Amino acid sequence: MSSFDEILDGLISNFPDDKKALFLHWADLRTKIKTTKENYTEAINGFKKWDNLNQIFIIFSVIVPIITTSLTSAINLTVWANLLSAVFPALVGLIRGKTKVWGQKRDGYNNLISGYERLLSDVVEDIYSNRFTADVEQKHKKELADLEAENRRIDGLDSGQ
Amino acid sequence: MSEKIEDSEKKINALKECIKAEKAERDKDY
Repeated sequence: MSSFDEILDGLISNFPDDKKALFLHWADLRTKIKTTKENYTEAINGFKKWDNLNQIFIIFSVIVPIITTSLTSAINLTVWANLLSAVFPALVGLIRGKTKVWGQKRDGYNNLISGYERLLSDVVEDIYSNRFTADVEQKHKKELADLEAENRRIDGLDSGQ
Repeated sequence: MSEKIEDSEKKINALKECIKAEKAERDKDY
């Protein structure tokens, strides 16, 4: 359990029953935060994996032209040299693309975690301070819808890759 | 009662500080 959860639990336990009931409608946000944290960890690992591969291919970018040049000079190996020089840039492009996408997912989930947590703390504060009017509730629902739309966009970043 | 209110206000501030601190911690992963 994170410090955020511990503080939140302590806070909610101080609430009178009517406020606890009001908060219950927003308790699902805690599940969203947990899921987004898991997605963030997955994105961090995905980014590291592709970035490491990217670093290796940067080194190969220097070596491959030397290999293809020396292969081309041996007439029998020209086919292999041509194949290598055609396939290698495509592979480099693919790996760069993957690294970029996983980096965007990592950044996106990182900001989303804070966004969901901020919304939850604002809801708790408004409920606690008796400011949770219908207008305020609508405003928070709109913020939640925006965050969920952003969440779907980030989830879909690596689809079709 | 006033102690409970003060405690809740402190916890709300702590919650907001915690959000900032956890974000800063995640940013260190980069």
